[in-house]
This record gives sequence, C-alpha cells and structure tokens, in this order.
Amino acid sequence: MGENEKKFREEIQIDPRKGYEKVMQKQKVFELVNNYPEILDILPVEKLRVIESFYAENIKKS
Amino acid sequence: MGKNINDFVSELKKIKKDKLDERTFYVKVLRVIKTMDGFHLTPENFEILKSTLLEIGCQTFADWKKETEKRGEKVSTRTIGEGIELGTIETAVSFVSQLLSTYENASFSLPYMLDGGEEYGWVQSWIRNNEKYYGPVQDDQDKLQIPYYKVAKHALMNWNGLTEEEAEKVIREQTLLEIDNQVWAKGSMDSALRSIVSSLKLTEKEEAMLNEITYTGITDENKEVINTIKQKIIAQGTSINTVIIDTLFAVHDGWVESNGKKFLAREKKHQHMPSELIGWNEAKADLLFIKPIFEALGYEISEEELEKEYYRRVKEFFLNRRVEKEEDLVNLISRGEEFYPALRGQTENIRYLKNKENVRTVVLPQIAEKGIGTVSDVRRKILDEIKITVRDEDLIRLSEAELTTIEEELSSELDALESEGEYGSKKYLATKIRLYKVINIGEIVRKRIKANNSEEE
Repeated sequence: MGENEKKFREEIQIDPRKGYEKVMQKQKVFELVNNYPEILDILPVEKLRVIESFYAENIKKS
Repeated sequence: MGKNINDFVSELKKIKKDKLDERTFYVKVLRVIKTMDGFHLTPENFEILKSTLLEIGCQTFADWKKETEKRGEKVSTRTIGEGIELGTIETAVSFVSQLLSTYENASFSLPYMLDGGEEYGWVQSWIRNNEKYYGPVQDDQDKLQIPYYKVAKHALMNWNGLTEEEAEKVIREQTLLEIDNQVWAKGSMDSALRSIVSSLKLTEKEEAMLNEITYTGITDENKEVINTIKQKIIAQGTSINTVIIDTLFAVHDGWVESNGKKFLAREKKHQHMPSELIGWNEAKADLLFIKPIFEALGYEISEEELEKEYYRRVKEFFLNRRVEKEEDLVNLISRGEEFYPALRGQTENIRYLKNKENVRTVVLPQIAEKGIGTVSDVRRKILDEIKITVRDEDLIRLSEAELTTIEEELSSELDALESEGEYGSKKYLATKIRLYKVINIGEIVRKRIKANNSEEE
C-alpha cells in the first residue's frame, strides 16, 4: 500500500486551481484510480474533489 | 506397487562415499539393499546393480581387504553369524561383495541374505546391531531438514499417529521408498515440482537440481537453481504467491487425476472439483506438500497472503465463467472433463456429472456445505469487494442486476453520509467517485444489452 500510494502521488500531480482542462491528465487520473483504488481512502479532500469533478464531467458527457 | 531396478539405482546414487565415513557408507548401502526383499534379479538388472554399486564406491571383499591391510589395519576373521551379531564392517562388505560377483551368485545370495525379514534377515539384523553398538549414522539428523522428509515426518505424525520420536526413528532407519509406502507423499510432491518446472520454464538441468533439493537436500552443486528461480519469477513479472497458488492447484489436480475411484464411493464430491470450488480450508491442506519445497528455496510462506491470492482466483473463476446463479454452475460442472480436465478418463464419474440432477442435488450442496459456499454467497462476497475497488475490468463482468444493486447500495451510503453531516467529506467524495464509476460501466453494459437485443430482433 505504501508503495502504491507513493507511485500514485508521484504520478497524479493535480493542481486544484487548474481544474481539469487537460484531457490527457484526466485520462491519466482515471487510469491511476483504476489501478490503485485504495488511494481513494487516502488522498486529501482537495484532490478527491478534483477527481470527483472529472468523473462527474464524464457522466454528464455520456 | 512393483519394485523397479531404477528405484534402487536412484537411491544408491544418492549415497556420496566421499562425504561419509566407511561405516555410514555401508549402513546406507545396506539400507537400500534391504528394500530389495522380494525383488527378482534378472541378468540385466544384476549388471545395472553391479555397475551402480561399483560406481558409488563399493568394493569386492578381496579388494577392500587388500586396501584395508595396506593402510595397516587388521581385518578380523569372524564367522558371518558373529559379524552380524556385532555389526562389524567386514561383514557388511562381504554382503555387498556377493552382489559384485557373478549373476548366479548374486541372484542366490540376495534373497538368502534378506530372508527372515526385519527380525531374522541377515542384512536387517546387521543394520540393527551396527546402530545398536555404534549409534545412529552421523548425518541422519540432516535428513529431517530435507523437504521430502519434513513432509514425511508431518504425515507420519498426523496421519499415521506416530509420536515425534517414532516418526524420526522411521525417517532415520528407512529409505525414501519404504517411507513413501506409508505416507504416499511423493506423488503430490512430484506434481508440485512439475508445476514449478513448467510455470517457470526451468531447463532439464535446473529441474534435476530442484528435484535433488527436494529429495536429497541442498548441496553446493544444486543451490544455484535457487537464484535462477528467484530471477525467473522477477523476469516473468509474477509474484511468489502466484507461483505457490499455481503449485497448490497443480497438486490438487494431480490428486483428482489419481483418486477417481473415491468419487462415487464417498460423500466428498466437492473434493473432485477445481481448486476454486473446494474452499480455502480444503485447498490449503495441500500446503503440507509444497511448503518445505518453497522454504528450501528461501521463501517464507504467508498463509494470509496466499488466502488473498486464492480468493482472487475464485473471483476470476466466477466472473470469467459467468457463474451468477446456482444453475450456471450446474451447467458448467455437467460438462465433465471439458469443464475440469483433471477428470479426463474417469468415465463413470463423468457420466454421473453429466446428469444435471446429480450435480444439482448432490454435488452443489456438498460444495455449498464443505467447499467454497453457495453461488449466491460467493457472488455477494465478490460484489462487496468490487464495490470498494470499482475496477473497470471487474465491473464490466458483472450482470446488469448486480451493477444496479451496487449502484443502489452506493447511493444509499451517500444519502446516509449526507444525513450524518458528512457531505463533501473524504469518505463522501470517495463513495461518490465509486458511484460514478459504477454508473459509467452500468451505462456501457445497458447499451451493450440493448444493442444485442435489437440485433436479435
């Protein structure tokens, strides 16, 4: 778990101020959440809020 | 089980004269000869036996006497009876020497020396008396460190009801062949070794080293395979727990293949099903055969980690084979060997399984009671896990109804969190992300079903 969290934190550099303007970044987040689902219970609330907005946007589109 | 000359040859070749004192060497050779009681020596077998004995360093009595005297040691001139009574070395040499002369002499002497069994046989009495006067041979304690004998000791104590002391005595005094006729462990250990060799693609030489480690112990020559195995596991991108579970499953498959006769005779039909259906308690019983092998290779076995890997396999089994309700499993099992190849050739058992009523009323209840549980319980356990992990590749293999169930449960959890004042909290957001993932996959599944239905129309 420790290792997964580290990898996730290294790869997911979401800046809450920038939002989700970059599609590539959004896809990367989806991939990481899928590979390391346990991260959802660990990330701080600001990052979860950004991730949640990515998924909400995705649902709206579909 | 008929005795084969190759069995004796392989036992004899394990005796390394250069690492043993003379007495230990002859005790070990005579212990193998002792197991030849009832073996019919043909001229061809005699030649094989003789050349093996010479190869491992046995000598004719005349040669041995000449060499001993050359060293300035005296060779006593006792009668055979006295030599047996006192367990003296020259008597042991003369026994072996009979097998190094002509076929006529050897074929007469062998049964003669062994006649009378454990109590009166000459060879048997010599071994007993020798160890009585000189103590158990020096390196016997090491035998208990060898994977096969660890398994045998455990089996003798747990299955045959021997005390630790009695089990160690059997291991000390008997050969692998004799011990295996009591514990029947070699078949399962051979299945385990074949599985390791095949999954790690070991060469013939590496396979021979692994076999040697398992049955005769680690030496400077064979220990290089330990590193090779570690490297191959890394190179394949797999984990040791995956390899151990593969091995465990292979041991079970081997048991099913060899124990077809037990299927109809007993009310344990779940045991003849694939490992994923027998339940962890049943599956882990075979760890007995493989734990000492992996420990000898330098791995620590964590039953907790193995149990997790086992349930991952169970999940894959149920999701990949689309076993969603009891009747799906009935349909699968009734396909016999096509469903489970280990049943191949078991005509009567397959006929029994092809009758769905038998599977429905006998096999499934036994799987439910003594094996992995009911299909609905297993599916529920899988759903509970997927509800947390929400991996796309798992969600996509659920039924539409199951996706709806998870969706409703996550929605209720969100409502509950909201009413508890947790709106916007970490837990709330994590649950919401999970719900979004389920909704997303649910949409894909529903679209697919709709498309399939319109194609059919």
